[in-house]
Amino acid sequence: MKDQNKLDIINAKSHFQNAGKFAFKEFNNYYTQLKHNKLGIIFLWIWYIVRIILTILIFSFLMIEGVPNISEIQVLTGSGKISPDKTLAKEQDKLKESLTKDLAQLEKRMNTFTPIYPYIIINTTENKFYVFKGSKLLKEGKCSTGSYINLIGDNKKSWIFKTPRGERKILRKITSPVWKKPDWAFIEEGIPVPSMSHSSRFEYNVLGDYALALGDGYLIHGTIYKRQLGMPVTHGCVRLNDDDLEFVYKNLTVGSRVFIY
Amino acid sequence: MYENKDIQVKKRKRSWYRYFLYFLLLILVFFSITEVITLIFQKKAISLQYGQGEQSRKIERALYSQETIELLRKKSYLSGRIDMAKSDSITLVVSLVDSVIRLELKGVIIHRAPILKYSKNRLFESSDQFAISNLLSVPGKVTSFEGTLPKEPMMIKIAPKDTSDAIPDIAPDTSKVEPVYYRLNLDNGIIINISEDNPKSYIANMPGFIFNTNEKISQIWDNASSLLRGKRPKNILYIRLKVDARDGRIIYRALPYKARVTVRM
Repeated sequence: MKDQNKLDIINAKSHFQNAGKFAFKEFNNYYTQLKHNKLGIIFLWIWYIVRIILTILIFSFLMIEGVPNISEIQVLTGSGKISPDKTLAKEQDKLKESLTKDLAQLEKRMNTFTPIYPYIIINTTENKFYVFKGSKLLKEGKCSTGSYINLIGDNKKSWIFKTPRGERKILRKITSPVWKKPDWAFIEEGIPVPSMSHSSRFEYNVLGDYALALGDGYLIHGTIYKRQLGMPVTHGCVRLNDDDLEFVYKNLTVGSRVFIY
Repeated sequence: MYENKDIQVKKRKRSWYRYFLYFLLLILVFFSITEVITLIFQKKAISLQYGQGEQSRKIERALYSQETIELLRKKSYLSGRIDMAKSDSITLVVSLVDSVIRLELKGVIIHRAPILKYSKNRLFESSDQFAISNLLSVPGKVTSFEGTLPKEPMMIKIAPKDTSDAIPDIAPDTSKVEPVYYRLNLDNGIIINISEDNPKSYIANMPGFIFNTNEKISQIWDNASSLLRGKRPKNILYIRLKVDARDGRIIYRALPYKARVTVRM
């Protein structure tokens, strides 16, 4: 019985050996075939390159990830200067406590930046506006802002029609505003520029019922070109539709903050 | 005789292939090695610049566990935002922890956009965490913008000579959209790469593909050339963000040229 078992094992061994030899021979044949074939050579070369790149990647991974940061280990174990005992744990707790305290203070300070009174945010890229009170959104809608047109006049004088980004404040609230046309309004239409007090400078009922002055001649006002709301078409002012303008006029006060981006 | 010549020509052709492949292999190996060396250099440089100070600093650092480092990072983030709130200009806040990118003006959040996908240098994880906390504790300043879309879509209009010459303004074509791929190079060595994540055709994404490929090639080239010249390669830490094209455009247009940026991770 034992002899039979031995024989079986020997047979199995030789069988595996033969199978191994066969597989090796087959692989060798296949490899030689590949070597004699153009595509095969290219395939082999690609395989060599892939192997080299893989080796480099594994090496780099080991260098960056596998090898621990020695300095960090030294520091965290204290390099023998601070033993990891109760004193260290106490110190760590103290530090944690002070950091948590600092964080609470900083968060409190951060919250003070958000105005508690209504303020308006104007998005000049999308031509949208948002009225907030604290972090609560009161109203949003379409508006029109600067067209980014650079108007070049005859005497090489130029104007850029863009809404200035940054923070501004409402300086004045005006009802039934009248537009006093600046020089560029005439130059743009090819009309000779009149004197500052000339009647052609004044246009009525084009700015809507209200206007809010932001300084430097920029206004938030109404428009007669309601179809163009949501597009960058103005000379720098912010245009709103009648309802939105009324809401903004009633909710924002002189001194209210205006954020333009 | 003719057969022999044919064989010789074939052999010559084969050797050409071989030389070309050798050359290709050499280039690949060279650049791969330079990249590995660069990474090792960068890791060391970050540790030296922001992590290891004097001996006393080392002892101080022994107190910092992973939890306290996390608190320290949060503190740095808030301090950074408070510091930026002092300025008059629009600032950028990138919070990888909350997957949110925000525009802030004087501490007020004026625009908030979700980060759809992000990836960052492995160096951020594998480097000394204390050093990374220190690096992120001070807001970075944008040194340059590079992108596929204009920062200000300016149009030039020549004033008409008289009323007959005047052309009424036409409403701009809002259907035309540029691909949104740009990067902000910060003074602390961090590069924030922001790109759109809208599914589009391959052709529509071509400018973005060219932009990203150019960036990678130039970076590899810079690293290799500085190593060849015996110089230490620049510390470059990448943060790649994918946002909605609309948000990407808004952020790009809103940020001033020297914008300040705080990163939380």
